[in-house]
Amino acid sequence: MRKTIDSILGRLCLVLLSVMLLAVVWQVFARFILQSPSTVTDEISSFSLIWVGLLGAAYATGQHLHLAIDLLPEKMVAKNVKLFDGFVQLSIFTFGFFVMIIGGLRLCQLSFQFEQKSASLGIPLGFVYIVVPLAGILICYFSLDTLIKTVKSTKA
Amino acid sequence: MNYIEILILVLSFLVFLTFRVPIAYAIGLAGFVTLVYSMPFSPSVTTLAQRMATSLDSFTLSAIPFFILAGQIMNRGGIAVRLINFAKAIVGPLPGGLAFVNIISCMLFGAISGSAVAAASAIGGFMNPMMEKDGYSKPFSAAVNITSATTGLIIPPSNVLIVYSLASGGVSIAALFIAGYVPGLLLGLALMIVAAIYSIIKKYPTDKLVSVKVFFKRFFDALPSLMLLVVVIGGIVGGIFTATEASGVAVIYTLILGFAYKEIKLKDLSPILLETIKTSSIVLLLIATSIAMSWVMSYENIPQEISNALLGISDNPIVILILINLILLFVGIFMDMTPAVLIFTPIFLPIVTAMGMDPVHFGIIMIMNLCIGLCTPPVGSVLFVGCSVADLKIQKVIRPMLPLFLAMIAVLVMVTYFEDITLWLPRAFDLMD
Repeated sequence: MRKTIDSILGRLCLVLLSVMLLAVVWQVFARFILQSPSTVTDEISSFSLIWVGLLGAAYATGQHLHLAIDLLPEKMVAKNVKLFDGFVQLSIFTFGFFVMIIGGLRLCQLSFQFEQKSASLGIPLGFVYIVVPLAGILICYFSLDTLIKTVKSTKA
Repeated sequence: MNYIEILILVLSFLVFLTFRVPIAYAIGLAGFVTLVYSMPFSPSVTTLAQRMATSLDSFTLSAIPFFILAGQIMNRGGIAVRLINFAKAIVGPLPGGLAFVNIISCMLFGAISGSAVAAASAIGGFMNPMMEKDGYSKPFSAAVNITSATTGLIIPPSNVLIVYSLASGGVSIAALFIAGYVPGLLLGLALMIVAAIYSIIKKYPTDKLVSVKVFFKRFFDALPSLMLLVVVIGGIVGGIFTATEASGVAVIYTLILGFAYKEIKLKDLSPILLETIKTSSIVLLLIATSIAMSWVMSYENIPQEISNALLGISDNPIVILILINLILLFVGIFMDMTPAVLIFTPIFLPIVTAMGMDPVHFGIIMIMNLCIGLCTPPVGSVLFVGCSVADLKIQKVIRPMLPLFLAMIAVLVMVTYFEDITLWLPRAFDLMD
């Protein structure tokens, strides 16, 4: 299951990044070659960035790519690997759950309620912001899955 | 004064960091804990989520993944080799020849790519074996490579200067980019002086002078790569492109070069893109949580408190600048560059502008400070990449790096106290008044 999610997520980000690139290149092309500046590429690229940034961050969380610092001596950490890993995953889960899922859902709800729309594309901003709780769910899933694996390997 | 909130913020951040929570999450969690203490739960999480989403809602920031992508494509080799060969033809015969080649190649690579990590791995990968063959000590080569790779962050294009522009509330990216040239060149020059002294003492060999014909051949080989500099920087400074558009053009240009040099094939594209997504989203999450944290700090009025505390120590601008430089050096050791810029710019910029300093000048000072931190443990990303490319333990590289650090600090002091070093070029180009 985790592998499937990983590969879908990776592909989704790939598409979004390509869309971003096309939008920016199109913007240059439209202005210089077609002589008619595009009004929507700016928003397409910015909104894709939010999506790539947060979904990519979830993806990187699943692969343990986010940088941490080694402040404690290696030996001390090596002795209590499970404890440290458990704390890290729980912390990530806490952030994903409270800030990104709960805070993110409330953000979407408010922006639908006040009917906020983007300036040039006219899409409701709630649809753009929905990526916050979405990435939150993925982050929670990845951290919980890692946590369960860590706990299980302790018992074994 | 709100000691309790400051205490919660700093302590919780340190606890999360110590227990090895990834930096981006540690920053976000510290902001979360502090805000929940001083605000009801629902508005605090909603605000944080909103800050995270809107911080990335920026056309300017779209340049970051593109410059990273262009760097990834350049990393494939073709461009790095041509730059190194060109640099060899220019400085190879000087004392400390290959060390100079390393430094100049890093600067050239930085001038077209904007990523210090890419410079360290692309140039280091070729230079380390070459220098070892000529009898250079391995740790010295790696130290030269690592420190000179950071010049790429000061020499434009530079992702971190884009982040600074955002943090400072819209200082002109074109002005910042052009302002980076002279300090970046000075930094490279200072590193070359140290490398020359070291190489003369150790009696390292030098290259033979190349013939005019070879020189021109190498120049023309490197020319298409160097043209990128003209397109990107020329385009931004000439007001033809925004930085983001230039970054998109840079991707297309390097792609064409990559295909022409047969360094990449169509099937390499998706791994390159995926690698870019990983690297960029690490930076983007740092940006999102750092901006959330920065909002929490200003909500708690912390920048004002720090400003008062600093001005309470002294009202002499020179003393304040020394203090800010020391704080930033210290911060740079323990914090990655992106969050440091986003969190500390709103704190220090109002203080220095009140003292009459130009925001462009301060940006360059700040980045130079943090560049030194990139070469030190425990969070020096360039140090880690440089050591892994050279296959060396970090402890080995620190000693030969010390004199290079001194050179970097000397340049930092010069740049701090003589604003013309930074500002005359953007002024000459009429990018600022």
